[in-house]
Amino acid sequence: MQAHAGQSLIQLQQVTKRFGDRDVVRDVSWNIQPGEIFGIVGPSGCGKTTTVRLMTGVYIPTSGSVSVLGKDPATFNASDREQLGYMPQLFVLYPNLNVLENMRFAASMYGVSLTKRRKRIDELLDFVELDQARKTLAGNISGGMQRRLQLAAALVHEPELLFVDEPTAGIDPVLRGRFWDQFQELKAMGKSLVVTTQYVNEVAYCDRVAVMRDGQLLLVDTPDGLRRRALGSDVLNIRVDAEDLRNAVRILSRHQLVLGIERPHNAPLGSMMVYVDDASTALPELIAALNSDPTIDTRQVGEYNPPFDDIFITLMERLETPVSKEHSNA
Amino acid sequence: MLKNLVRIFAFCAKELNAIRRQPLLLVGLIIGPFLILSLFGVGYQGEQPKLRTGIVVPPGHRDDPQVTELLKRISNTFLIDPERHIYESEAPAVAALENDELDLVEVFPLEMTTVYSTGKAVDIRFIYSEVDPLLRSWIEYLSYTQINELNKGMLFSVVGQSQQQIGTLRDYVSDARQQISQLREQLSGNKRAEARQTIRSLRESGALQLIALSMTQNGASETSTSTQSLSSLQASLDTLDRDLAAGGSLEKQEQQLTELDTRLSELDQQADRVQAIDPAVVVSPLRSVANNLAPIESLGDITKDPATAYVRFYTPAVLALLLQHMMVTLAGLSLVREMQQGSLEMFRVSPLSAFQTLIGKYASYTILSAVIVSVLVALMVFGLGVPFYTGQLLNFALLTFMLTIASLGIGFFISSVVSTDSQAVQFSMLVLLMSVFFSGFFISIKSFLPFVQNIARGLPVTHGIANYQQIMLLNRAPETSTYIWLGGIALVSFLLSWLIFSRQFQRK
Repeated sequence: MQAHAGQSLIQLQQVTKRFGDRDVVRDVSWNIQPGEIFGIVGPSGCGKTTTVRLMTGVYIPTSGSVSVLGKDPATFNASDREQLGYMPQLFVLYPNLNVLENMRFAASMYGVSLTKRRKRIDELLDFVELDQARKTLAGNISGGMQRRLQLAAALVHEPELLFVDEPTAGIDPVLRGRFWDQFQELKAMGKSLVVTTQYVNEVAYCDRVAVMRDGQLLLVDTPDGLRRRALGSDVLNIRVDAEDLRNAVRILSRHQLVLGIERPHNAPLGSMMVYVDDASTALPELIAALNSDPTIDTRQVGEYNPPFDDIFITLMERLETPVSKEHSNA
Repeated sequence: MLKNLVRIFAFCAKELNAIRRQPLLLVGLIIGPFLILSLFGVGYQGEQPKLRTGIVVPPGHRDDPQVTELLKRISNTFLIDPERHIYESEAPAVAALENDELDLVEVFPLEMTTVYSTGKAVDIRFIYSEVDPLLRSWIEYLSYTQINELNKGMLFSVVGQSQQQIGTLRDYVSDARQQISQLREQLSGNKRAEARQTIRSLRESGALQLIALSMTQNGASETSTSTQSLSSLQASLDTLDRDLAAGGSLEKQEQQLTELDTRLSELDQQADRVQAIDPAVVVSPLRSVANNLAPIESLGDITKDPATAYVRFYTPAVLALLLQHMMVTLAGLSLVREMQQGSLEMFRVSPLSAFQTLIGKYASYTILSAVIVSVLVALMVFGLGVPFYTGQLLNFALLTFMLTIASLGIGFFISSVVSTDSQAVQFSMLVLLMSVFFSGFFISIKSFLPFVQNIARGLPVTHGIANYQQIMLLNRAPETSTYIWLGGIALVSFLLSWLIFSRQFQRK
């Protein structure tokens, strides 16, 4: 089953999930397109896992509607479910089976035939770099390896859509990077991924990101879009010889594309932050302007990309009160 | 269809691999029961333990030969230390009982030595302190049989004495018949003076009086007519003596003497018959001859080798109990562990259904059951000599299959209602406890009220024990009702487990 061309792969409309008298997810809406990596970011307990469970059909929404691959997940049949891959937040495979046996179990669970599974399992173990550990008990491999095994198990039946719940939680930065490399490879293979994470800087790997807090969706945007929302515009980082700084500021401040100039306190001598509407348009023009004065020695020019941690904090501060709701218009 | 089979197979391989990885579990499941049965066979003595018994005898009678004889008689079933546990008063014996040095105190009163002279029954007291109902019954049974044996012993002795007295009586009868014969000859020869002398001799010897007296003492009812005749003979002798002295006719008296001789001859024959009877037959004229129609030859001789007979009898029951417990526990832990581990969430997202999950687990544990039962039966047959009739192989396999799926059903039902694995273990143990009490393992289910018997039939092991014994020991196929019961248990428990597990499987 595939979403029709032009249709969203996943569509949430004003979805609320209530447990008891508490709304764990409230009024969330978004559309996810085929072939994208859609990140859901937010602090622990913000409703990321519940939202994933709503999309996989484990939970039924209290109100609102969920459509995945063009159907309500609650009505999925077995062949619909074969299109989904799911990597839960915790390791839920079997520690007393070895890596290979766990993979075989996952393949059988999805009905992958004996003839097809062998090659597929070999490929996947190679993909997640567990080939050497195939005979090792899952209980005896490291936490990071268990996460990779869980990912391989989620991919064994070649799903169209993969839900990955906090794959990088509690693992080292190197391994986290490797995970995202693998997600990018999957995307390159045409898969769609929904990935939740607590690590804000990981949103850089996503095509679009939903920011959640207290069960509510704060906004959905691209990583660049998030940066622009935090900083208000694009920012260029320009450094000239310290003696030329005055001249450089004078030239740039008169330029029509420059919205403003700042000199950060701890920045190296000759550095300045230049605010523009669109960095890609402004950058060549501002370089040309600086070069028009032969006395100015331009040392460095480039787009300023602050860490997403900083962007996220800034965004949180801006959105603190009242909580705004932004729906994707994708 | 193929994908459904592959999904079911997922659990087969997974469960079997998981169990294969636990060598201790396998050892416990296969070697454990075999070792227990072997130890039972080696260590079982085949009888109840002898009770440590203290004997209280009347003061001054410790070395009495009667006491020595008594101790000899009861030492077969009671453990008596003649140096330490013969008492002449009750208090120290009871103190030893309270100190757990003794299990039983037996008090023989002084009156016991004079029971026949007083003509009153004497109480022999058994004092014990026991809570266990089985041991209490055992002590009461032993007390009863001991008194029975003592009574028989005393009766045997009395009968022996009586037979000796009958011997004396026959001597008197013989003497009397000789003198009567002599008297008859004298009368026929009209030797009146000699005849009177013989009459005097017969009177003075007192033989006739002694015969009458002996017969009265022995209470021989069937000789009462002879006794009356003897009394009338006394009178006839007096009359004869008077007639001889008067010189009258002696014809009538001769007739009386002939009649008396005939009576004495009958008496002698009767006495001979009584004397020939074995005193043991007089004491216990009836014996029991039990005839068991069951073909129990394969169990071995229970009197010569009780341990083997018990091991062979209990082995099929142990197999049934073990199989049920193993399946209930494995299934009981199975679903709840999937839930606790979080795998259920993965299943919910996958195309797996609750039905496929359950059937997959049923299949895996049934395969496991077949392997374990095969190995166990081989060990039992070749290691313990338990009989197995190859003609019953199909019945055995079918019964094992039905017992397995019925037990798994109960296990899965437990697993679907509990929330932790410790609860699952707890409930599995309760099923085991219930099985030990109500399945006929130790206590026949016929000992219970009908409604409890029906509850017992709700346990797969009840049918397993009865029918494994029937197949293995008697070479007899199970009744159809066995399969109906087991099938019913399996079906109901499966439907309940499926219903509850499906609800847990459902999207929330």
